[in-house]
Amino acid sequence: MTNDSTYPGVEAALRQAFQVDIPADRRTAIARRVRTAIGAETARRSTGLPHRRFLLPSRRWVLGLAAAVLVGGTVVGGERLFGQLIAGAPLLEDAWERGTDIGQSVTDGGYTLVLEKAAAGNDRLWVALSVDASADEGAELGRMRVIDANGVVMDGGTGAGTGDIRGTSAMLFGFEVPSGITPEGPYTLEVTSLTTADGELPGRWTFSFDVPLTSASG
Amino acid sequence: MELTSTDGRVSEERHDASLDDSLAMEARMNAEAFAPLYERHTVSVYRYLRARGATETDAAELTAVTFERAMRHIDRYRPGGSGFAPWLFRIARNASIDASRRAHTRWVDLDRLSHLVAPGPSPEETAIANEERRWILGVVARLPSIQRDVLALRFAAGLSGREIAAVVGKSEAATRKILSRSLATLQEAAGHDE
Repeated sequence: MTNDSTYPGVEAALRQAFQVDIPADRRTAIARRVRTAIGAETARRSTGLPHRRFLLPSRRWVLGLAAAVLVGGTVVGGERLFGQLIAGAPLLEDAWERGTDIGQSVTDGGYTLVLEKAAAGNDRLWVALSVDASADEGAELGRMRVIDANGVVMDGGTGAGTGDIRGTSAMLFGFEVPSGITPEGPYTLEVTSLTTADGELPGRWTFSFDVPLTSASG
Repeated sequence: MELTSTDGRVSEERHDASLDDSLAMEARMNAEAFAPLYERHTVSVYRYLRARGATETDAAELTAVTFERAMRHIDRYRPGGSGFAPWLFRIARNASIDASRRAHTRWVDLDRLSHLVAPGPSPEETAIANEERRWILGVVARLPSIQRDVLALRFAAGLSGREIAAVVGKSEAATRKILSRSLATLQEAAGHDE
């Protein structure tokens, strides 16, 4: 940056203040975790990938996806479903490609929701979410909304989901940005219910994230 | 293969974006190739998380989470964009925000920042150095969150202005202004305390 030498004393003090080392035991523990992740990823890449796709209409509250559909194949993680979800759907593929990796997960009631990606545009704010059930019965997204930094609520839009595939489902949803509004982060995504075979399941899965505003309209 | 991380290298060669891109591309084909990326960026990610106010334990956990997520999503990284480091630090930043929200903690806590003050070996010099650290970290803790984040990305993680802009989602010019304003505030505070 051009102002590196404007405040040399302060900058040197900051570098010194932030210069902390990783204790040896922590370093070992982190390395072990990453080592395991690399091994798991190697194994994951050797598995198959079933798919199912459908589109949701726009509505004020996003409520319920279609009934669960089981597709043959191995149990898969949510992130693997997105590749199939966007295949052959240019709008979704564009939203996916523009998205920023988030990778936040929240668990409530035995269901883990992972906010994989998000992308903010002038017209839509896209989120890519997966739902993973700890029990055998899977669930899909029910009610949800996004609130931006200025309190603007976005609770309607259009999305596509995989449906439940052996306990996991994935969804790309584009919240409509109100006319005349430029969305501004950080954003809060609130999911307040899931849809199971038995009906609507209330819960609370809240994500805080920030993504840059991209120029594409979608 | 044993994983290691590089001590103290928080600038210069770590930001060899083309090398990062090559490694990331290789890791998309062969997960084992992710190890060098981990080794190149571990310390800077850890320092960034500590600078955001994480305790030693939390920073280690979040560092592991960051690289786990990066490994899992490496196929989504697009070489040639803003770069691997901003992509990685966005993951770290989001992991930190998520953890803070779940723990109902402030983004930066003065008590937590005091953990950054490492016990030193020589009494007088260490006492002075630690006092300076406490002072500057205390001033940093009172800055707006975006200023704290930019300072952490710059001086703990060693990112460039362009890279910081990509992490926080602002233009490079706006990021430069934020950094300049933050440093000016610290300089002014230093002047008042002298």
